[in-house]
Amino acid sequence: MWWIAIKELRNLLYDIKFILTFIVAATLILISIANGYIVYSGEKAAAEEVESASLARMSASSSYESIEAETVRRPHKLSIFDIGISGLLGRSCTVWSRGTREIQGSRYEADPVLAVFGELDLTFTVTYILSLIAILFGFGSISGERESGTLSLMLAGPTRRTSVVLGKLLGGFIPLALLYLMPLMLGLAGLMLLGDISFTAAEWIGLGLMSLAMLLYLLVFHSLAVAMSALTRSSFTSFMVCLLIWVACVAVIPRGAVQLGAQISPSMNRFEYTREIWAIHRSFSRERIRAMADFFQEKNPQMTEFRKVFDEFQNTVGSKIDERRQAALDRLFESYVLERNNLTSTAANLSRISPSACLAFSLNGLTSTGPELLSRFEKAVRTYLDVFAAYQDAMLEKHADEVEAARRTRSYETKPGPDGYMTVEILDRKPTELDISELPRFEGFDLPVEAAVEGVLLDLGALSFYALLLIAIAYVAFLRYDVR
Amino acid sequence: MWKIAGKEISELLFSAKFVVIAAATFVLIGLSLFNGYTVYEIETRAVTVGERITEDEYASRESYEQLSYSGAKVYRSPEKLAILDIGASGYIGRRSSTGTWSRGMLSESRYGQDPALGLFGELDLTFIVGSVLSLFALLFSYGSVCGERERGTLRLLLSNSLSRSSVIVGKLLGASIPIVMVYLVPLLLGVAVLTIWTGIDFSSDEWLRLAAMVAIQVVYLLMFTAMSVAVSALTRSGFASFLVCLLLWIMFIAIIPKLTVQGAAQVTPTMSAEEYENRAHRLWQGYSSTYPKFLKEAFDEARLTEDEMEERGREVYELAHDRFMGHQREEREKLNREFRMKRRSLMSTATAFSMASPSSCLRLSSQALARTGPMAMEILEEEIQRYSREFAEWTKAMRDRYESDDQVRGNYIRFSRNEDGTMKIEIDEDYEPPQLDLSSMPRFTPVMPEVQALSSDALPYLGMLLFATVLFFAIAFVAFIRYDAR
Repeated sequence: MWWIAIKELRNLLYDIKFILTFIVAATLILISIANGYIVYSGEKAAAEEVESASLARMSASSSYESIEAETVRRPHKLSIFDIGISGLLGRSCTVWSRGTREIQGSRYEADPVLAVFGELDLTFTVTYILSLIAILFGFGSISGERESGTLSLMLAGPTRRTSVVLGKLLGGFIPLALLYLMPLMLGLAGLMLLGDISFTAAEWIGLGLMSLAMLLYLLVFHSLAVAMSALTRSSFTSFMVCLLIWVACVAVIPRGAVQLGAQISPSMNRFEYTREIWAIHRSFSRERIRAMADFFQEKNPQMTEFRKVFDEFQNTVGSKIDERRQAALDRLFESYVLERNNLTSTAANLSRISPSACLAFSLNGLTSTGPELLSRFEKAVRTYLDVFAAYQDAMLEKHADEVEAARRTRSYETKPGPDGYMTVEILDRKPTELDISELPRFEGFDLPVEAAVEGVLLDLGALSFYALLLIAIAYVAFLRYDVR
Repeated sequence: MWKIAGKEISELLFSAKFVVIAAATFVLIGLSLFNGYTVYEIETRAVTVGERITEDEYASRESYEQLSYSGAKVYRSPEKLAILDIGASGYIGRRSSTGTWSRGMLSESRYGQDPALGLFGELDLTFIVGSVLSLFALLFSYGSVCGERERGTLRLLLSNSLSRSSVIVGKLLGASIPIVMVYLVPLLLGVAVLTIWTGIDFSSDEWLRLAAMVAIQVVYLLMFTAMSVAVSALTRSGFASFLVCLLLWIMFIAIIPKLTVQGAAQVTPTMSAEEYENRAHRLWQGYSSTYPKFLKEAFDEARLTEDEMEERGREVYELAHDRFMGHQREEREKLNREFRMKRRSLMSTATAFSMASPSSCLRLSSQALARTGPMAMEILEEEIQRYSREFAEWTKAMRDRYESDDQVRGNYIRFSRNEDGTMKIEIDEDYEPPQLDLSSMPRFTPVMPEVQALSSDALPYLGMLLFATVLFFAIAFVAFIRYDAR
């Protein structure tokens, strides 16, 4: 078997076609890594800009009541290799005393023209181009040799058919693996030296798993080609069949399956969802007003004590009502996200027939660029909202006097002017500087390593299954192959 | 020449290759039309629900002032031709508000809600033609010259009294006709089934645009056919010819479009989303510094004495407030305009760069004609801007007419002061918000460009494709004249 493999390798390596293919593939891999790096740096810079602008705005606010924090999504370092859907997802979401706003500021939102053709990242290069090369390396391995007559020569010797087919598989796969790994190493070196990127231990594990997935994917297409080669008489036919399967797997099935998934488990209409939110707000608003009126009726305060009594109401009855409202909103949110996640998983499960979909999903968990990123971001924002609200309350209590003073200062005063007519005096107010040093930071919401690895295992398993199945088919077909 | 063409065609027709590819095309075109229609249905339903919700919201507003503050909500109805080219419509928002503080831009896109749908791209007709049928075109004719040479039949062909030029033209014809037929027959059938089965109604403008789209797609397929015949006439073996064709195919379909767009993005400065947000925020925060200036101006004009304050002071405040809001709206519009201009310049740069790839030409021209591309979004947002002004004027007019100052506005709850200084709270359980008369409210009816304007948008792309086709025809011609047939 090894002898056959080495023979295949040597044939390949001295072939000008292989050298050309290697150069083309290596160039594409390096270009796609460079492109991924450019996009990643852009996203990182944008996220930092949003965050610093938000901090500046917050410290220029007049009071802790009115500050608005930005929860910013930072790009995952491995998204250099798999941009995924991170272009269409917003980067930040505003959090303030009344809740959260919309997630917005996605890359495609500002420039939808970037979305028209999809991204040139490593995942794309492997999914579309290296898989074609994998087919090219294998489609003639058996039927081609039969045509040139060398197959019967090979089998005339003492070599068993088993070793031949395994040798061919190996001999074709090793250069393929090198075709992927060598430019990747070069790209990684470039990133670390020129791009100033460093990977943590968890990220190295992610890189390793990513490469494992990519190599398994290439093995699937290579074994497909060898299997077809062993099932047909002419290499031309085997190539055609492989190409058609390639088109189906890489282009057609994932798209169609996703649409089918959306049909089978549709998600809640977005507009209905926002209407439900407003309905909840409205109904609790009425309840709140009534409770406030009752409270004030009971206390019967002077007009001057309005603020004090209002704060008392807010701290007791008001906050309980707010809690219940929040619980209702949370329930609604959970069901909305659940429906969306169902759509995502149905679409994913249907599309797993195609190895390219399996590859895409295996990378999603590792690079945090899959469809579930949106739901995770939303959940993380809501968690942060609680932390933020607690911070606001603490600050308001601690700096209660300053807050009271800030409320009373205005930037202008209406009073009679020197000529007897009413005029406005614009006061020279000191620019406020709020102390936000204790503001809780919005932590990232990347999946912990264990969860990411778990997510990958399913798709790695699927890819391995396809590879083994095709190897088995190649094996069996070759054992019965008529070499004349 | 025609005899050659006929021979080519009949050779092809009876091969297994043709049957498989024709069947696959049939299935793929049918699937893509079905998919396009399904998505169209879903989007139409979603927008209908949204519009109904908005009508309810309008009815529940308690005053024209409230209405002017919250603004109108407009929805983007899906384009019928999106059935053939979903384009970028999954990325484009479906709703926009027109209130004073709104961004005036479309938000809540289909992929924004369910990113899973945007993970792999769309299975629409443009994709099938652009990525799959072009490959099939290559498969049909990559061996038309060198393959015949390998089989030995080329020498036989040329030993007759046929001139080389008629042979190559015949081959080109014989290669072009099958692929165009394989494309047109399922397409026309599919469109017929679509219109009859679903009852969908295309306007005459839409039929014309559809015809233009089909024409461009045919030229696109002809280009790839010519390319593969040319490569065939430049190589010695069928296998080499196919490899070169495949390489060119990958470059044109996948690599160049992505690179040109990225390149354009690097080269053109745009306003990023965060810069926009930043400046919008600054506008909003300018309240405490800008509003007093308007107030001062209003008071200095009014020349009120202190005694007149109680009576007419409120007028002055309202005037200042109106002016300030008007100013904010203007500034907002200026910001929006600048943002849009920069975005447009990126679009034109990307467009210019992507002329290098026939696949980009196909996709961008298709999107232009179907009105599902970034350009259509620009136009729609401008229409929304125009409607926003119209709506603001209408609410102001209604406010002036029905909500003058001396009307006491009712409310559900009212705070006032008792004689002894304590607070008096009144709840009016029977309070019914006034019904606004919305019969004269202007509705959003965007004026979108029609076939003449869109065709001129698509014309440069068509020109590029025609140029490339003619170029490859010429190369095939010249190469074949000099081809060594042995």
